[in-house]
Amino acid sequence: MWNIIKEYRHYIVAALIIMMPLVALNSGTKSPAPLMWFNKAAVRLTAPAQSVLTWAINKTWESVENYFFLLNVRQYNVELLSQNRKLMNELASFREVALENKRLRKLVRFSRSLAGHKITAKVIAQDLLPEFRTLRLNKGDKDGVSRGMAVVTHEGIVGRIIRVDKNYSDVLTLLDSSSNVAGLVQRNRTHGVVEGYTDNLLRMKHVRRTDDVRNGDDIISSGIGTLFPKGIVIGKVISVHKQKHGITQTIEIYPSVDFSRLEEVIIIKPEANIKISTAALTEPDMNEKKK
Amino acid sequence: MRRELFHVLNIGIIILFGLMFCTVQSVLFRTQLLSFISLDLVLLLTLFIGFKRPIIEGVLLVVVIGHFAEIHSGAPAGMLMSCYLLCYAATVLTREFFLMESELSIILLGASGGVLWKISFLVLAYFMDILPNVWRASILFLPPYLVALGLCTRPLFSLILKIDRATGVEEPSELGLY
Repeated sequence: MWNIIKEYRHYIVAALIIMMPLVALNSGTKSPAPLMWFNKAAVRLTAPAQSVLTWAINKTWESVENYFFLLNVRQYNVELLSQNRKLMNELASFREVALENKRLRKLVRFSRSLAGHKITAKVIAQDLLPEFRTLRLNKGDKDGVSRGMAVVTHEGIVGRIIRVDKNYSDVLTLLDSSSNVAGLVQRNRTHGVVEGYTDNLLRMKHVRRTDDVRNGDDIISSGIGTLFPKGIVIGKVISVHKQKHGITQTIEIYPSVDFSRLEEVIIIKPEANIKISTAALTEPDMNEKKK
Repeated sequence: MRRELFHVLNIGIIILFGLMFCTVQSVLFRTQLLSFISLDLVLLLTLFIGFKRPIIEGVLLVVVIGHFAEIHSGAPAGMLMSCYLLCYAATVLTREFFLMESELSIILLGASGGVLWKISFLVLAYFMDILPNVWRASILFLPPYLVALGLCTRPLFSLILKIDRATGVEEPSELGLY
């Protein structure tokens, strides 16, 4: 008997160990027993390590997950950026159309107030040199433009046509030194001659020294010479120079037209019967009124 | 015969360059963003002609290009052409008396050409009684104008020289940088 046990001892121990859980399951104790001191010690050792490991695994997994997720996000972002750019471009072109529409509406309203032959043109280039102030328009001889025609916008006088080609024409702006326009101080009807002075200023000459001209006075075209219709705005007085001696005074004028931003203009024939309604220049747009 | 044809072609290209420069100058360099540079490409072309072309051919080319410049400007007739011709003559004299072998000499040629152009322009403006109207813009734009001229001289010269080589035009002077 002892010999048999001795011979099969390994199998017996294995069977007993296998049966131990079965005994525990069969014991009937459902609630977990309180931890013994060695269990507690073990838990205190393993728990922090578990915690660190779990954190590390979670973070790694999170990173991997985020990486793959971000790949999608990046792609999504690229698509959104592209879409956004496209929309921004569309918005910019719509805004441009809206601005052009606004400008043209003002120009048309102003144009209606002018009698006679009118041609609307676009500015396509400026002078080759910064010292001179001419503009090139996209309308020429073919469209009925001829030398000496007046060029205006809803902001005021631009200049006159000096060169005409079949499809293009050049405008000598008011800012150019060789430009002269008969002007009038709107408040007290003082006459003078307005000419280009610097790259952004005009000068009114031949004004009597005794005439009362003040800063802020509006200067309009006097209509003398019939090139420009009477009453079109030229600019505002910014300074008055009176010398100790002499019979005239010189007036510096800030032009009403922003020549650097000029895009569309109206070319008009110098006709004696052209009249301009000044109300058209100040009357706000109907749509603007609604707003 | 073939050589003469290529020479005529080269002259045509130089004239087309003059036209193209006038267009670029009056549109691109007059936009609000670039207006402060006010780069004079026509002047650079004039300096190149003075630097690399025989005198008679050079004068004729400068007259044609100067005329193109005038029809793109409101300057009094003959004013720009005179300024460009003066700069051309000064470049011819420079090439006769000085050896231009370095990059710096080419940059200086561009910048000094700009100074000479402005001086001649202001002197003519004084005699034409338009000085009060133009001196401010001339002086105001002078520093960026000279810098831009100096920086653009070398690339522009190289570009035109490539065309010269492609069309087989013989260089009149052996003194140059290239």
